[in-house]
Amino acid sequence: MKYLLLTLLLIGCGQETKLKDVPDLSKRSVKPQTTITTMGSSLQSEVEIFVAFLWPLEISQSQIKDVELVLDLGRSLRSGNESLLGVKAEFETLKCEQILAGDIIVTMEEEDYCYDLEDRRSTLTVTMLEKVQTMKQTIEGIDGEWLDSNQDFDSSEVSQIDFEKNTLSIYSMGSINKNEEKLPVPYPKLPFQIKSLEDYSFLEMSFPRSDADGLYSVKADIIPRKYSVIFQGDLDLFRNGSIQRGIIYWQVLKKSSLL
Amino acid sequence: MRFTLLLIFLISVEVLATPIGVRYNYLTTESLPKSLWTYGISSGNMTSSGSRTYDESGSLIDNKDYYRSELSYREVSEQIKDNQERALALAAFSVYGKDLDESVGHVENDVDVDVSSQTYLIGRGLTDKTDLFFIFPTVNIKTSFSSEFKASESLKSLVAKLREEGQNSRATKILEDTKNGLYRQLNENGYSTDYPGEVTSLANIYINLRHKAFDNGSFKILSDSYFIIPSGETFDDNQFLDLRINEEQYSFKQGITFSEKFLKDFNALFSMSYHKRFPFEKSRRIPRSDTYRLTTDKDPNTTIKYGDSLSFSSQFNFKIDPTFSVYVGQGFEKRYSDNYSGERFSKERYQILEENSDQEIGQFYTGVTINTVERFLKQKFIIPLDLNIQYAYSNFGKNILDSHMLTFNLIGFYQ
Repeated sequence: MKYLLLTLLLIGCGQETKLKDVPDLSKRSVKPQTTITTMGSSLQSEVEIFVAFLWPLEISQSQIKDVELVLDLGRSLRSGNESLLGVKAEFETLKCEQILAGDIIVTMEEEDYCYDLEDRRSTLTVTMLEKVQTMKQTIEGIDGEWLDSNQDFDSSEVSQIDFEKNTLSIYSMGSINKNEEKLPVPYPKLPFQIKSLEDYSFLEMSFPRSDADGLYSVKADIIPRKYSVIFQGDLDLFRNGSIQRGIIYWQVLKKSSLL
Repeated sequence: MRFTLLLIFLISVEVLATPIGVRYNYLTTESLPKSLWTYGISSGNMTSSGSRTYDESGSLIDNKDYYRSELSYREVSEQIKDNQERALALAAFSVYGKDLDESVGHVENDVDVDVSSQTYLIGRGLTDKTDLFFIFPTVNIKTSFSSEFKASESLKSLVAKLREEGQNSRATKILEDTKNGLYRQLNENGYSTDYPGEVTSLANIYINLRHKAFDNGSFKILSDSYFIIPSGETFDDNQFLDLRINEEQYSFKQGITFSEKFLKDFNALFSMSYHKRFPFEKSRRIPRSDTYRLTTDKDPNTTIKYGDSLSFSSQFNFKIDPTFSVYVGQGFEKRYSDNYSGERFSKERYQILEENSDQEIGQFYTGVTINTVERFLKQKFIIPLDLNIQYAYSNFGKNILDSHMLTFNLIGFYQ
């Protein structure tokens, strides 16, 4: 008898529960979230930074270190970007733009502080972009798929999110080559749903991939921070009966008056 | 007439045929007179006592400890079927500073088995020394189990860190996967999840040829030969709990019993037997590793050879009067390891099924018999009957549930 009972041992099991009583989690109630709609009014519509990529379908043992590097960079992206936004917010609150342009006269110390903030802003911005570039190179190095966004096109245009209509317009998620020119792959006005469990909210959306076969599915946690709200989670591509997993990340700034 | 010599026949049917357990046990060296018919019914109920198990070393421990196992991050990742998902999990554990051999927690499981049996017997004295019996046992087996996963501090800190970083979905998924891992993985692997479970079935047909080989009045020798024909429900490899309610194959059991009457009303008996089980083929799931046994891999032609059994019993009878007797006995049974083989998978994978399949049990039993045959012959009782009430419990063992059993055994005679 022990043989099959042993199979019990190595599986994560439930709380003291008869198996028959274990609820099917797929039926767990998920309610539409209303508070995010309220929060949405406090957010800007421009997406500050947008990162999306797909892991390679097969990850070899030797590639796991590269995967670790990407995951690590992703973690530092969240914390680093918040530092950058803090500097940006202070720069804006102190009206450093006008001070450095000479439109507002302040003391030398205050002016120096604005120069210091500008330096820190530039350094942090470069650091963030370098991290994104390192992620991109690492993903491409292990045969994953980096989905180009506005950062990769040096575009002044960015993705937009509308919390009243619950739509996301992505400037680009991927790229196509036409006449030796790299062009963005836009996804305008993608509808999304915001749902909540007991203690957190998440965004869900799915849409067909426009530059190739497949269906994208997004489930992103909504992570409120002091200066922004981060949307980060799984980007899955369903194609030919298989799933290719990936990560999606974007950040929306709070309106400056609310900082 | 020798009705007064008739005692309860050995219908100690193997209720849990392959996995050994406490069972009705009664020794006798008597045989039926020629042309006498006998018929009987036996009703027994075996329950596990306090959810305890004798482990591999013979120590009696709580089921939760016996079926407890630590889980490491490595073992958790090995359970992920999808290669991409598994590689990502390995990388994530490393990024969050988790050593793969670190514990994520432990699983405690508890198993309860209740077995009741109804056994029907019909027999006839072929000669004054040789009898033939047909025995039809039916069993009802109820099983239930519960499971509890207790997360380690390491896993709790990982979940807390994920939540702190805002990765609530991942944190929730980890908790749900550990909380309901059993249900999910049984479904994923196509096992039945319909537990608690209950099954009632015929548990083989036993043909018993009994021969009194020696009898000088005080010392007797009796031979018992059993031919066992597989009948009734067979083990379904989609069942998660391994309930084998019968032998699933032809087998042969040979026993010999000695008795010595050393005082007027005292009788001492000793018995030994060997149960030979023959190999057979059937579909079995063949696990990939001994740390994770759930699998969809089946070999429809697995050759199975359940372990043979060797048993010894001793018993003392005391006859209070012509109607009432009491007895006490001690039995020991050892079942050797099962053997599995096949062509579809590596030899090592089949051998995983053999681990801890050897079993031992010691059982103490005591009972009272009420025999009306003599009173019937004196026309003081309406029918010749023999009632045996027995209580038995396991007093040592290996890889068996600690259990006890109460049996009522009623036999009638007709000529």
